[in-house]
Amino acid sequence: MVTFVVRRVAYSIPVLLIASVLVFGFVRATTDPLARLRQGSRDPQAVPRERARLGLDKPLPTQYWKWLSGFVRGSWGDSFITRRSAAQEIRAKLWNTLQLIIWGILLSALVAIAVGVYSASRQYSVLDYTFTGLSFLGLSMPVFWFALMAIQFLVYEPRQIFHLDQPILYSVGLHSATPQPFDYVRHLALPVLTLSVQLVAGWSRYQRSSMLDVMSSDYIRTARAKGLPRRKVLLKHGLRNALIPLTTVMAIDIGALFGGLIITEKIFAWPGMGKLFLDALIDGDTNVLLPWVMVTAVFIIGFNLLADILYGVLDPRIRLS
Amino acid sequence: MAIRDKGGAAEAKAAAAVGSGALASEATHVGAGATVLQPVARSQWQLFRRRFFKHKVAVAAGVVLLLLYLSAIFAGQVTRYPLNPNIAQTQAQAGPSASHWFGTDELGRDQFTRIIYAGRISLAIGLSVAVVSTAVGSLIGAAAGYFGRWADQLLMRLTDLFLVVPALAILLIAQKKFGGSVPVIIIVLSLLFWQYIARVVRGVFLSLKEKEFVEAARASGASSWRIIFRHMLPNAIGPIAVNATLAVALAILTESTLSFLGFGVRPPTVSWGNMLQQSEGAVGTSNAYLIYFPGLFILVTVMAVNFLGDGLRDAFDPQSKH
Repeated sequence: MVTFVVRRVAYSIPVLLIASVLVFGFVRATTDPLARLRQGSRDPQAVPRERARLGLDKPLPTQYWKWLSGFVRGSWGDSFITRRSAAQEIRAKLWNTLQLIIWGILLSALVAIAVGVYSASRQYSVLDYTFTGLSFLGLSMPVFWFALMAIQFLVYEPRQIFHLDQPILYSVGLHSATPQPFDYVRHLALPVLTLSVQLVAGWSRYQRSSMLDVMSSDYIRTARAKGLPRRKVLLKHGLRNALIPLTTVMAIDIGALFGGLIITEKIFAWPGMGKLFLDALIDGDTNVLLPWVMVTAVFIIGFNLLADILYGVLDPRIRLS
Repeated sequence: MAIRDKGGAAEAKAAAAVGSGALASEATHVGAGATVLQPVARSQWQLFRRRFFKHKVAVAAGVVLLLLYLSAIFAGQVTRYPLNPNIAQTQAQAGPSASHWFGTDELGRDQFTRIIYAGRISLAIGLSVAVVSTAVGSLIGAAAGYFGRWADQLLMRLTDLFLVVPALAILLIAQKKFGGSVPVIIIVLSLLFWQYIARVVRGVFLSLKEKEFVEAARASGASSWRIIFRHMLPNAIGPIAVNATLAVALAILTESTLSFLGFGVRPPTVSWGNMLQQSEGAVGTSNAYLIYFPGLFILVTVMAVNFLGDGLRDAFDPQSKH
């Protein structure tokens, strides 16, 4: 077991290093840290001075090494816009995004597993077909459009119909200016719903097929044959094994969420990683963009690694092969 | 699977309905009670067509897509108003009505007209990205799968790296740098998408490589390129076609997302994504009809492509259960 984990961790280190080279090269090739200065400054010496100060006149490998050693030690440079340290900015925004991710995953996992188990146990029933149709709908849904429609029909229309002073659910930000009852839940509801649509659609299909796989295996027939009640076979013998593939898929998707909430956060003005990225991109804030992409890459690699290890822990056959 | 069984018509029909081989049987009634079974050879293509047309939802999806593409091609004939009308003569922000089916926007432009013209851009991007990324991805995947060794290692490690970077962020950075013209978007999206198809084709080629017919071709002196193009690629057409349709769906979704965020197709070129970007302010007002229809067109198109892909998968590979 230990060698298995060590081997997987060791494999992800070169991936991380090569990814850092690519990310550095890509971001530096596509964004210009001096663009604002070039436009804004009348001092002809300002651009060369700033270039020397930031070390941009050095050869690229030297710059890369300086950046990487700084990145590892946590000194990520300052934002060009706010002049605050990029590490502080990202840490604050990461926590807000994490709240969305945690609630989104909990909700999606519960719904997806329930739907998947039901669909598998009543295959080809009316509800199974309904869920299949809905999951196709969810997988084809443009996230931003769903968010806009959710604001229209869950915030604006109810307010019009019932003549409310305050909307039931909020569509902007994390807090209200003045404290409101259930403020947190009312702000969280719509972004979480939006990010859950595709997760539920994907995961429930996955859970259904993995459940169908398990339920057609021999040991399930044995369990039924020795007289165990159907419910017990389904939930105790079937579900426990059918959850293994879903766990790994979930781990991979969670990693991707760290860089994937850009649309949701933009529409709901959620002060998280996605909004930080868009602002930095529009302002050409290289010192925020570079660590942002690297941090999300680290999360993606980390959760891919977790998926690998979880699979080995939950299913010893993988570990031994 | 040739069945010669006098009087067993029902059984033969059942077997023909299964139709899992290239040879199916059809019962021909000759006289009262007596039945002669004629084995009917069906080509792979005929079998594929039969299976596909049984998948009613996929056929319907294909018809919807055909209509969408036709309306985009004949946009001038389908719509009643010019794309850029003389604004002085139009009525701004009129809700859906008999004369303006989807209403008009803040400049009085007919929304239905704009959606049909936007479909030209969105559908063209979807199709082009699918064609380019499928061509590039199939070639690279085929080479990696066939030659193996370092070519394979290089492809697998390269695509591994693409999987660990946040795709949408990378696309947005690239779009900010290289601008919002349609060809640029097609190239940028293709650069990201080719690797999915490359991985699929590589997998198919790895298993095809061990088949006897490849061995036979090699033994009879065929060159590597001839084996790849004449013998192996035609056998990989199923997975390639399925993944190409999925690429269309993904490209349309991604383009609309980029355009919505302001980093995709830029006005005055009109796409479904940038129509939604321009109408975002209509959310939460009585003009919300401006956001209903462009999004609905994206949703219907992507869903139709996905259903078509599902039907193709079932038709190419009846044993697959996905």
